Amino acid sequence: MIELINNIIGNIHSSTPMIRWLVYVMVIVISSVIVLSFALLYEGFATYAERKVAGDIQARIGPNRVGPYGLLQFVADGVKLLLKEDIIPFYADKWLFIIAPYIVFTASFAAFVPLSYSDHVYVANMNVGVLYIIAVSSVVSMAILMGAWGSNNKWSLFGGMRAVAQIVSYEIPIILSLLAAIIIPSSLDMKDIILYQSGGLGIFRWIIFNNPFTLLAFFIYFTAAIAEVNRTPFDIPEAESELVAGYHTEYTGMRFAFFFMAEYGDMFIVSAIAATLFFGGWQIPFINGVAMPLWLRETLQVVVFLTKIFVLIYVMMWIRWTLPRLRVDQLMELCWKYLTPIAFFDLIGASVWVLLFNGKGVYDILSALFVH
Amino acid sequence: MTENSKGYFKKMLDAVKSVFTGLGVTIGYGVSPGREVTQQYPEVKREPYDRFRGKLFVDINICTGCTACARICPVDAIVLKTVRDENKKLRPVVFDIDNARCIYCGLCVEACPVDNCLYFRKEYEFSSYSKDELISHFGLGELPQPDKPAADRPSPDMPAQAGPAKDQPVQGKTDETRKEEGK
Repeated sequence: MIELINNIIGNIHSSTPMIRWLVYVMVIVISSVIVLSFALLYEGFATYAERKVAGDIQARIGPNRVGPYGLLQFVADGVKLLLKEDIIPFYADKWLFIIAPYIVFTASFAAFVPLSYSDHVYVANMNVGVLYIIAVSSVVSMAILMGAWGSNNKWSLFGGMRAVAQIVSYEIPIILSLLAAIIIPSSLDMKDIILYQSGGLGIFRWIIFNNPFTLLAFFIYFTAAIAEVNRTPFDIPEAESELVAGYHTEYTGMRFAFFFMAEYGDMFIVSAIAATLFFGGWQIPFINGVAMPLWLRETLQVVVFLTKIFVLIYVMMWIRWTLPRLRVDQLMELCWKYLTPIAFFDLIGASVWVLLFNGKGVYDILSALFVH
Repeated sequence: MTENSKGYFKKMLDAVKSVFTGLGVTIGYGVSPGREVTQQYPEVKREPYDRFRGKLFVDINICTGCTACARICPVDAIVLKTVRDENKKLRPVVFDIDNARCIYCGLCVEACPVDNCLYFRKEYEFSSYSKDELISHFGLGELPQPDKPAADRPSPDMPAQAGPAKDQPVQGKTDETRKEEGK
């Protein structure tokens, strides 16, 4: 984003420090507002999409009253939540109770920052992008526990304890499976990872097709990611039938909406990581983008990137409306007895592959065979 | 490979298989639209079945005034009052069905001796703002004979009674007794 602004307003590095600072602050504020409005709009439509997908799968229609095809349902829901009474329980720890939703939402939103939407459209190009996302999204578990403890409610506390146990446990297979993908381009930078996956018709050099271990790593990552964002079949922190609503039982109105939006924001983040690390990010498949004008290429890249993310989000919704909820012990068993050992095995396998084939993927090896 | 580790891998395989089986079932509904079974109620109305018990209706012109329905009604939803007209036939002066009380048991329909006289219609949308609006009045009204003494026939403002009323000899007559009387 800064690079893009640089191109527009000329070389700001030659200006006086005062103007430089002003421009940087402006850029930061504007890009935050753009990403925040994008995130909120996406979250609104994601709630609509969730209900539509649920309706489809359950042979219902879903929301279709507000606006064409019910598309404005999320606006109506938002207005309703804004107008709701804001209840803070009398015996709640008010400070923790009030601050928890903001931290959840901030942590979820902060993970939008290092994402690379296209060649030049990004907020911040960090050289530790993946690490940053993992670190920032871990704050969510803290905030969930804060809200759960602050509510002074048994269901909230149970839900919060489950959430923390689950998120902390599932971070291990997530990080291990991401490592298996990261060692291929050997970079934590989102843009470097995507640039590594260029070529091969924009599909065959995706890291998921690099070797069998990265293919397995994707499935481990995706399973663990669903657990990380507390979605069915791993939604025991908010299990409706047992815990009313889990950690956000006592929350009303907009405070509840923050938790709700954070869930959809997290879905976007984990799908974006999967799209970046495994599915080539914004690499346009089948079309050579070099010959295109810049604006067309950038737009196409953003569209391709978002399409990959939305397909993954659809899969998450599809899984949610298909599978029943796991028991707590089953959840822990899945994590510690299955996903973690397999992820370790996978990481070792991927490392050995990189050593043996000098970092070349299956496509590179096969194409080298046929060309020579 | 020990038994334990075999079970471990079998469990894994079963889990993956069952997950994909489940996803295979739901994707059919997820990707192909037009498989909804929901009916958009106010726009699309479901045609009730033939035996559907909707609003109770009486064809008052063929009603014989036998009061079998009023007597069998378990919730006293039917109020029936009859007088004899000039041909000595029973005339249902008042025939009120209180839809708020009706439990749609169908006993009155079974008890009615005349075909297609008392029956359930398919109409099911008759909610109203007051209970009075739920009473359907079918009665033919008083006889148009002003010269006749008022004491001979039941007073119109007398509270209508449901079920077998002993003080009214014309009520509670079955079809057979009515025929005998006509001879």
